[in-house]
Amino acid sequence: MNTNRMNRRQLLARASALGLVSVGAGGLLRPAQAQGTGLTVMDWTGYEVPELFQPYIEKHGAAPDITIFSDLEEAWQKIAGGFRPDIMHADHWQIPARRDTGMFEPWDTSRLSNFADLMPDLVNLPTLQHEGKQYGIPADWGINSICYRTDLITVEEESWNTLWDPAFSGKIAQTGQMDNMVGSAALALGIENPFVNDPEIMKAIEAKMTEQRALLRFYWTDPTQLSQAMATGEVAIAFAWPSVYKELKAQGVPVKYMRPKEGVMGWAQGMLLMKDRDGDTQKAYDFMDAWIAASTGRWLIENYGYGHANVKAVDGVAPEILADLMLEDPTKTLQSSFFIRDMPQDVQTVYVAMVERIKAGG
Amino acid sequence: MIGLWHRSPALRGWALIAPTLIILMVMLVIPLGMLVAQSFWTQSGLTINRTPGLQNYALLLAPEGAIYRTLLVKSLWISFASAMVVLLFAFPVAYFIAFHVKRSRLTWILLVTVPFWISYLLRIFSWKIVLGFGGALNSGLITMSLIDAPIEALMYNQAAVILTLAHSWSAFAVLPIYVSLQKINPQVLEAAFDLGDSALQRLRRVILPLAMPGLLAAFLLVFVPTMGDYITPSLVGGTDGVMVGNAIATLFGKQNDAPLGAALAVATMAAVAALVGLILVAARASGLWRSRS
Repeated sequence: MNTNRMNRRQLLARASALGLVSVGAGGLLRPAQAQGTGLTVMDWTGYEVPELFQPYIEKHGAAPDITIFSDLEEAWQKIAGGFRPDIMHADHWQIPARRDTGMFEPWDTSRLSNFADLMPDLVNLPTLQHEGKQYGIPADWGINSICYRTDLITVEEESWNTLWDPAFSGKIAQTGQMDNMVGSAALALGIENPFVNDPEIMKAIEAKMTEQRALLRFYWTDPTQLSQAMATGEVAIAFAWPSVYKELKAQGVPVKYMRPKEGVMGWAQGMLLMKDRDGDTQKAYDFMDAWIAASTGRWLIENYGYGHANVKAVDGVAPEILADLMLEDPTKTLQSSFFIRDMPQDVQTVYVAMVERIKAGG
Repeated sequence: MIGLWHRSPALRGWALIAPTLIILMVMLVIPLGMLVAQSFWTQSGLTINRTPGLQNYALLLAPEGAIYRTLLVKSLWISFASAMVVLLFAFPVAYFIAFHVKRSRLTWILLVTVPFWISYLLRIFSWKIVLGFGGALNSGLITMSLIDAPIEALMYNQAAVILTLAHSWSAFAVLPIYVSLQKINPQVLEAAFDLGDSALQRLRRVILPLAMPGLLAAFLLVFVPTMGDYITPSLVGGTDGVMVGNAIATLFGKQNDAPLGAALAVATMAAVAALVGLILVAARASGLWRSRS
């Protein structure tokens, strides 16, 4: 009895000591964080690797503070909640609505030594450039298409309609992202631009997406979920990022990345300089310049299977890698792909609600 | 001042509960109030209009809000089913510990909580490994030549959600049931036996009514929190197992309609409260549950 009580008392003492230590550690850590590296970047998961901003590290000796996200909406909300990064990275079509609220500061492109090498098709996107000011700097872009298991299914004709083929029912996976879901449906239907305020088009897209739902194994939420399901054969055909295709191929899974007759889907991102920021502005420019360096682009192409805005990035990359990713002629691929030029806020609201409704079973 | 402290038991009482009260106010009452207030606002794009109105609730009742009502009913069903499954599996465990374990009961109770020592997320993922297409169950059955191709119906549906939720919350049910069973006087059981009850009759007529407070508590402990779950359905639910929590999460997030999300959250809370109230009233009316057992 007595020893028992002693033990309890000891336990309590230890627990409170632990509590004190953790409080103390928190107190010590916080000023260290505030001192930081002088630059805070908010970026996608996978983009925190030093290879993507090597010149910055060479100049400043260390990587900046990087906060990662895997859901852009979550990132916007974190910023709305008071988080203050210096640089942010977002889908280009999501930029205008927030640009209009005055969140971003245009870049002084003369301070970026690699800016002249960037693809004009990306630089001049109205979502990135507005009233002559460059709000978003293009860096990473790429294609999206359908990936399928050549040993499990036979595809007669490479088309976006294969994602609607009842013969593959239960073996299909679709992305859960609104822009790509609507894009797939538009490509399958032959609608050139679904992102306009046209009730007819919206109705057709909705019907097409609803039709697909019954055929799906799942809407994938993260690429690992998809690559695992495709590796086991649970899913035989899916909308997939190039990185998923690359990963499956590296594992020796017999897969093909489709060249649909309607064309592939294109995507691009923009890097943004936040107006309310605490970091060092020169460091922000150095970081941006490192991201758009040709060496960074080459690493991104070879390792992630994405494209890069720097036209010199493809130099030195093996031709078969480029062919596999449709990057032999990046500008041609970009121009011929299904690409969201612009998405008005009201159209976006309608589609987001529609997609969530369909995913939920409505 | 110190004199007042000594003389006034009320003051001492308030001081004693003040920390709890403050935490409850800050962490529960105020956020809840904010949620309710928000549910009367509207949002277009990124701007929130703070003029109060009933639009969100009207939408939930309108034909366009059918999906939310469907999800609410489906979630009530999934949580109800999970809670029933939990009771079904937790009762025998609690029964065994209460009546058949003579020594080191604490060890047994500790064992029940073992699954809780790892993260909730990992427990859900482990079910993906068990039920998955190339998972333990399927590959085991294939190795034993019981099936030729993997059973796809194990994953990405409501049943998978119910099973995963039931497992995740089982320990919460075992403990209250155990406590109420443990309070049963063994002599009562012997009396029932002496008076000619079979084992089954004894269970139905003596043990279950006496254990009812524990069973009800266990049911509520599982039913109420699982209603709000959205991780489990998004990981194992597929297209069929979406719950209302997922809709609330996307309304606050992707859909940029926090006010509607708040209204749906309030409606969900109201539905749960109503159903729980109904169950409690029914239990009281049926005489199964009295305030003193």
